[in-house]
Amino acid sequence: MTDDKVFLSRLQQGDKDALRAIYLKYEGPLLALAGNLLDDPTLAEDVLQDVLVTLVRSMHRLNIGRNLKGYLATAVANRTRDYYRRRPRQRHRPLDEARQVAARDEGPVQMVIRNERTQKARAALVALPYEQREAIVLRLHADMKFREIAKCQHVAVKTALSRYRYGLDKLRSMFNGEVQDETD
Amino acid sequence: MKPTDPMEDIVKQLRYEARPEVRDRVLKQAQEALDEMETTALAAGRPRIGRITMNAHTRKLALAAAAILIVLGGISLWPGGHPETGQWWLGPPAAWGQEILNSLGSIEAVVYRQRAGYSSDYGPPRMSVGWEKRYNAQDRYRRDRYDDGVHIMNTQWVVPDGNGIEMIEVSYEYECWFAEQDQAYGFMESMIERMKWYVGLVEKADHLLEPQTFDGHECVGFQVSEARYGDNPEERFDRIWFDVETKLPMRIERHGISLDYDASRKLILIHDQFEYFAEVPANLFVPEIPEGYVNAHPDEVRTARDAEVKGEMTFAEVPEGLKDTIVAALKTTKMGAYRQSNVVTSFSGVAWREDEYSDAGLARTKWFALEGESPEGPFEPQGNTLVTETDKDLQEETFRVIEHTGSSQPRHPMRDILRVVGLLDRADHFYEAVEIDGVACFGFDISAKKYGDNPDGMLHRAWFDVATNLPVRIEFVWPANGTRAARTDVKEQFEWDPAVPQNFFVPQIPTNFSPATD
Repeated sequence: MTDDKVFLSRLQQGDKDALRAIYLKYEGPLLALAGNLLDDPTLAEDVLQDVLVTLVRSMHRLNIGRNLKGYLATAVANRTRDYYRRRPRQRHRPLDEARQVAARDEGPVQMVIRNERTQKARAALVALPYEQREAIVLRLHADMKFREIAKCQHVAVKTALSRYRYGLDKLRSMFNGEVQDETD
Repeated sequence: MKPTDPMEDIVKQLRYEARPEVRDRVLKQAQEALDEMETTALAAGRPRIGRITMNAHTRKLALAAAAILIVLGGISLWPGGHPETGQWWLGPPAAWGQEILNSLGSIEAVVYRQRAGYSSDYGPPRMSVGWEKRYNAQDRYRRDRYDDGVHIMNTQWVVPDGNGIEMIEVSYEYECWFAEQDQAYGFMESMIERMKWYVGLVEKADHLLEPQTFDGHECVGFQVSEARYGDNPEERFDRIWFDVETKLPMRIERHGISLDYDASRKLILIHDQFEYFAEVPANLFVPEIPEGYVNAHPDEVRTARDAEVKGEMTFAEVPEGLKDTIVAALKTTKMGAYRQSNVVTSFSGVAWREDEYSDAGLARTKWFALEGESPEGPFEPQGNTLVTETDKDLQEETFRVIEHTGSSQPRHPMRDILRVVGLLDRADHFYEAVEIDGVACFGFDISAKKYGDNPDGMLHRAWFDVATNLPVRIEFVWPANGTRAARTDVKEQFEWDPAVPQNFFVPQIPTNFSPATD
C-alpha cells in the first residue's frame, strides 16, 4: 500500500492524524496550484480549505486505489475555476504594474521566492489566458499528464497539449520582454 | 532524457507558503467536518457512506442480472460493453438503471447547487452569476438564492406544518416574506424523486456521453431528448452524469428552456456539487423571518419600488403565442438583410457582413464569422467563442483581419432582432394594423425602462409583416441627454432569404490590396 492509500484508509476510519498528514503532504503543491491560477493568495487559501473539507465529506466515496494527488489537484482546479468565474474580470496588467501588485499582495500568504525573476514570471503567468495558465500549472505543479489535464479541462488531449505549448511560448516571449497584446 | 525547458523550471519555482494560522484554520475546519461525519453517522444509526459503494455480493448479483439481460437480448447503448470488468455502465440500460436505483435507494437527503447558463446560436454561451444552494430532505426542502453570486438574497422553505405543506419565502433584497400552503411539490421538486425518474429514461437515451470528471469523480452519463418522454419542443434535452464509483448522479443539465424576455438565448439549468451525506442541522429547515420584514411577495415590492423610481408602467394586451410564432418564422429563414443608415447588413447562420456605402458607392465591406464552443460535454463556457472580422477598405485598398474574443465581440445581427422580439409580451402598446413601407403590419413598442434602469423616452419599436410574421422595421429611440441630441436608429428595408452570389459571406480580398498599417 502506498502512503496515500494508508492515509486515506485511516481517514475513512476517522483518524485525524491521517487528515493532518494528507494536508501537510499536499499543502505546498495545492497552494501553488490555486495561488498561481488565481493570483490571489487569500482566495487560494479558501480554495484549499474547501477542497480539504470536501475531501472529508466525500471520503467514503473515494476509491482508495486512485491517485490522491490527482484527485486533490483536479478538485482545486475545478474549485479555482468557479472562483475565477465569479470574480469580476480584470484587464491584464502590463508587466511593470503587475510586478508592483505582486509585491503589494504579499501578506496573507508569503511568497517564498521574491526575487525579480520570480515576480516577472508570476506577472507573465497571470497575463496568460486562463485555460493556458491552468494547463501549465496543472502540468508543472500537479505533475499531471496531458491526458489528465484534458479530462480536467473537458477538452481533447491535443487541445490540452496546445494550450500548454502556446502558453509556454507566450510566457517565454513575455518573459523575454516582447510586447503582449490582448490575451483573453 | 528530454532536456528541461528553462521556462518550465522558472514556473516550477513559483510557490506559495501557507501561514501557520491559515494552516491551523484549514485543519480545524476539516477536522470539524470529520467530527460531524462521525457523530451524525453514529447518532442516526445510518449506514456509513462506505456502504453505498457496492459490496462484493451486490456487485455479483448486479453483474449476474446484467449477464442475464444480455443473454435475453437487452439493447446495449455502448456495444461491446464488458460488465465483468466492473464497468457497469457498459452493460444494457436496464441493468444500468438498476445499479443506479440501488444506490439511490439508500439516499435520504441531498444538498446540491443549481446554476443557470445561457446558450445561443448567435453568440457566446454564458453562465449566470447567480446560483442556488438546495437542501432536499425526504419531506422538506430549503433553497438559498445567491443572485449576485455572493450574498443570500432569497430563501425558500417547504416544510410540513401539521395539516399539509407550507412554503415560506423570505426576500432579503426586498425585506419581505410571504407564505403559501398545500401546493406541496409545486414549490420545489424533490431532487431524489427526479433522479429516480431519470433512471427510468436510460432506455430512452439518445446517446451516452463522453466520460467526465467532476470534483475529482470519474463520471459517465447519457443524453435524452425531452420529446422522448413528453410533449416537449425538439430543442429541449437533458444530460445526466453518474459517479462511476457510487453510481449516484453528479451532474444534471436541462437544455433548451425558452426565456421569457430574450428569444435569442436558451436557458440551461445545471445541478451539480451534489453531497449525498452532508449533515444538515435541523434548524436549517426552520423558517426564519427577520424582524421588521413586511408580509408581501417580492414582485409586489419590486413593482412598487420601480413605480416610485420609473413611474407607472403600462402593459398592452398582446395576442398569446404571437412571440413564439415570430421566433418560429425567424428560425425558418436561412438568410436576412436590412439597411441601417448607410450600411447594409446581411446575415446567414454563423456569418454576416456589413456593406458601407458613401456617395461614390460601396466604400467598405466587413465580413464576420462566429466560431462557437463545442456543444458536447458539460456546459461550462470557456470564453473560447471567436468572431473573426475581415475588413476591406475599398477607398484605401487595404484590408485587416481582427480576431475578437471576450465580451467586446461584434454581435450577430440576429441576436438583436430576437432580443427585441423577446420583449413583445411586455409591450407598452400593441398595434394590430399599421402600414409600413406599403406592407400590412402589426407592431409594438416598449420602454427600455421595462428591463433596466434606462431613462424616459428610450424605447424600442418593431413592426412585422402580417403575412409572414417577419420583421419589416425595427427602431431604437435614444432620448436627448446633456451631451447628446435625440436620435433614432432604424433598421429597415428588410429582406428575407434574398438571392445572393455564391461565397457572399466569404471574405474576398483583391490581390492588389495591402494590409492596413494604422
